[in-house]
Amino acid sequence: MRIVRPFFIGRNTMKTNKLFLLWGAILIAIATPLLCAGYLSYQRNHFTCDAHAIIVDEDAIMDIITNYSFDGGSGSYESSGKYIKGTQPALTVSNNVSFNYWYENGKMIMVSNDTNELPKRTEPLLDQMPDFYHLRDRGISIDIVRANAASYYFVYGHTPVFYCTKSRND
Amino acid sequence: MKTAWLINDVVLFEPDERRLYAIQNYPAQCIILHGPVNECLLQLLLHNGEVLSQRFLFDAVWGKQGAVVTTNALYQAIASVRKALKSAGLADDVIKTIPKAGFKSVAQICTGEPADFLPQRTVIPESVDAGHMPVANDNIIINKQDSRWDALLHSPVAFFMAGLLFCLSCAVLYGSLNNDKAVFADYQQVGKIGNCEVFSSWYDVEHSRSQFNALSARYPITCKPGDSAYMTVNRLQQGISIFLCDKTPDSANAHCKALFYRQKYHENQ
Repeated sequence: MRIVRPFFIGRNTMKTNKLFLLWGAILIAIATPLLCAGYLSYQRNHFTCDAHAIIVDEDAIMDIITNYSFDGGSGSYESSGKYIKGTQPALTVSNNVSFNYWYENGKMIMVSNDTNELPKRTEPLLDQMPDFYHLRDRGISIDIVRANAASYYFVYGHTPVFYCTKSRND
Repeated sequence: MKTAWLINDVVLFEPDERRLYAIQNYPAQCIILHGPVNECLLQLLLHNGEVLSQRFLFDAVWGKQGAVVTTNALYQAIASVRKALKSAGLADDVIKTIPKAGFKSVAQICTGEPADFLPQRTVIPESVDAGHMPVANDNIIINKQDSRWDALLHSPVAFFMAGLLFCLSCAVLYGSLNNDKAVFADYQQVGKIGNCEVFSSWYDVEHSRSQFNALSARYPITCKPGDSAYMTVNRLQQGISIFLCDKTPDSANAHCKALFYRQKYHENQ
């Protein structure tokens, strides 16, 4: 004697749902790394950070706090600090540079649009800074390497020159 | 010769193929019926207008296979017949339950070959084969497009392509992360100078120590206990950089400041 079971109501529907769930999971698995990469890329193009640097010359030092801001292809650089030459009184220095930037072979190319360096008179140490910081339409190539979630190394000519930490509101 | 039943001029039933069609959508949409459901419908149509008892249906549908089923199975089969007819587009309830007697079909039916009921343009596709088609257990309308999607989503090629896309996606992410190389990873540990744990890009420890001391004499390098100093020597011909950090620079919440000692180079040196 054989007992015939009644029909399994909705079995195909369940199979279809499982298939869609499976493919949904697969699509999420494919999309997640891309979204992470996109997020990283976005972060590399939208951040503001501060760095403290002391530049020591033969007979002068410049102690500055700098701020770099990057926002999807355009950015700004601001610095302020003091310049001390020998035993002379400290001179307040500042600079504002607006620039455009893009990535080329993993490095950031920045080209200045406008600069506003103070004081206007030429000091030997200030004069030794790359043209980008003095003059408009001058370029500089910097390798920006993430140090951790909040900080970046700015590497210029294979030498790390700034340790730039993201601003708190970033 | 295949026999087909046209029910209320709306639904075409092919018992040999166990299929129901909405005549308007023939053959794009069909409903595949389970064997017992198909047999129930056939018996009801064969005895259209007559009351068929439960005993009769048990014997006609399951009895010839030697199977015994519960009453509930019969009710479910009848329910499936009704749902299938409704899904195929039949608005009227043509299967009546006669209390304490059984079931009765009150449909308007015509029998003949399928082609008799179809417009000239429609041809039964060779590829539609009940043996290979998914069975609609509960009146799911299956059309060819759904079947194709189903087959595509089940195919190994689709899974292979998905795996490939996943690998590519991971490669993109890896490429993004790989930009973040550790800048000081290959720096040589020079040892402690003052409170500073010094690391140098230069392989010569003694040279690095003397360089560090010379630079400290130009401008004092002051470290708190636990601070580290990372010295990059002579890579940039304009000078030497030293990063002073309160902890490893790639660790969270590290604070570093940069010292850059400018150097003048003379061709004769």
